[in-house]
Amino acid sequence: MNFETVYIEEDTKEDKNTLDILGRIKFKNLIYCNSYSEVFNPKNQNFRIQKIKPDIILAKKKNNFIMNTPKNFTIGFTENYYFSHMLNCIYDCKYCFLQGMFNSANFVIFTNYNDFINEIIKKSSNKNKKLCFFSGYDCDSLALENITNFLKVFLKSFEKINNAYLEVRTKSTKIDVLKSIKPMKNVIIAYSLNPEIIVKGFEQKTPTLKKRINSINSLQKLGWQVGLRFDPLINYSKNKQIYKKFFELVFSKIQVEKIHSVTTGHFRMPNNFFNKLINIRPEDSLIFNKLKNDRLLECQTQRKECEEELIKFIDYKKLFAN
Amino acid sequence: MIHFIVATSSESKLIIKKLKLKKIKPSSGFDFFYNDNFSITITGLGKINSALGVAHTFFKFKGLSNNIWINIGLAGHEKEKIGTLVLVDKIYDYETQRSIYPFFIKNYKIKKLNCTCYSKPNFNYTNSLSDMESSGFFFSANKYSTKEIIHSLKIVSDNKFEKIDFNDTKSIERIFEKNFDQILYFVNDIEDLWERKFQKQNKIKIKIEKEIENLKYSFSEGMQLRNLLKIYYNSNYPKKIIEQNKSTKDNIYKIKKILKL
Ligand code: SF4
Repeated sequence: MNFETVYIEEDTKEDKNTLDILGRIKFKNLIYCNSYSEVFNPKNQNFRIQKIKPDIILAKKKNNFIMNTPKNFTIGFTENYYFSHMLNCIYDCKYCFLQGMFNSANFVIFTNYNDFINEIIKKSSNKNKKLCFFSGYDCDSLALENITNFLKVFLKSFEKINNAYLEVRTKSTKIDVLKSIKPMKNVIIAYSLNPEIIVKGFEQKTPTLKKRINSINSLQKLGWQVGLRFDPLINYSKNKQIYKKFFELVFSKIQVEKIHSVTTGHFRMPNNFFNKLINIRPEDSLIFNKLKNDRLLECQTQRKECEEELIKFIDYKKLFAN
Repeated sequence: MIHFIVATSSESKLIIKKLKLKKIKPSSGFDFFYNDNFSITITGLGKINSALGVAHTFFKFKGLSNNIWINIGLAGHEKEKIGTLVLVDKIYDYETQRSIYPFFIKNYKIKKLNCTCYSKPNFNYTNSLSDMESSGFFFSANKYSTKEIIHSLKIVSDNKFEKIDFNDTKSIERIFEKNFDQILYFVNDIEDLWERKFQKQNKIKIKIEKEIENLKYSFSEGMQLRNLLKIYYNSNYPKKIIEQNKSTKDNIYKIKKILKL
């Protein structure tokens, strides 16, 4: 992958993961900074312009490695956490909340992967119950794996934590890393799926539905646990027929009995993110306003209708609304 | 609009000549020159003057946000040849120790270097450019525009072996002349980006203000009306929608109905 500029935090420039990443990318310009936040956080940057050709920032995460998920966010575990080894994403979904949350579209990679593992070990030790860790809250967990090598490094250590489960949320079909290692019982590869018409309209630069289903098949054949994430459902009530056919297609193409969990979710975004989104994507402001209104008015009804459809295919115990 | 910010009159001469800029009567201590598309402000030396010059330029030219800001000026460097044109990719303010990182959407055939901004002339050359304006310029311009359309271009005027005669306007003009085409090419490219990203929205903004100028509305009605009109014109409805003989409430109702909101 080609980058115009690579920024590196001074105190991470000697780290092995940093040097490895530098070896895997092409770039024209290298700039050192004290902290990634000097480049990433300042206001008055234009996310859309930067998205045309994002730069990459290699940094060290200093704190808050692992965070609590919002209440009720679960795929069946009682204790849930999330973390991100990366900020931002190579895809460009219209509804992505990252563009409301961040000032910059540059990719930040936190290269101190072992610190994430150590925190997870700390959280999991001396506990009898199973804990779930969601990866890919602020990025797509897999999409940039060919550069980050995060999973390759991380999974080796994660496998040894008996009571910890990992969800790797993705739309990516670059599954080479998962093909190269033995499937792990405590790892769930969770695919975000939407009907192809929604993929085309809302999920720019992402793999097609067909490609994602193919990847699910390959992973299931290899023995990986796979989850399905119908999130966000876009205008479910209006697109009911489209979603009905879509569910039929998806569940006819995969090994349903091996599915770990299915979740549904709606377009949700705090107001300040939403206002920013409208500002930076004015051409889509009508769509977003309609989505927002739908969310307020119809959220509960949509959820019920969607669940009724899904339990035709999957045990309701595996179904969660997030 | 593209605003050039320079420190001295000698740095402005060639740009004024080439772009055929007219002088505005001196006001607020700065010299402004302009045409329909460009302006240049001579701010005087130093980062505070540069920052003030940006602020005055902003208000002088209608206070429109997200215009293009380009700082051009002379700078020192340890070993770069006199007359070399450089794009600044990191500005480090020596006094406050704060850094700013301009964003480049593509690779220009102009050398890129860091620039350290001092409050006094610095002749202890390093491999960073040294100047006296860039940080004040950038911090100030970034209040009015997004950082991707703010840039600092430097022409090397002195290194540890030689320096130009800073009082010789002709030799300064000569090194500007040598780089002018490249500077203009760069600026045109940024303008192209600006047109793609901001021009449509600026036009919509002006259209909206014109359409509602005779309506009476409260603060919150004004906000709602502007937001709805923004959605309306961004959704490719070409026709004017506001009915001047109707109340603001009726107009709001009508737009909502059309947009099905
Ligand atoms: S894949 Fe996820 S993180 Fe990436 S752009 Fe889409 S919504 Fe955002």
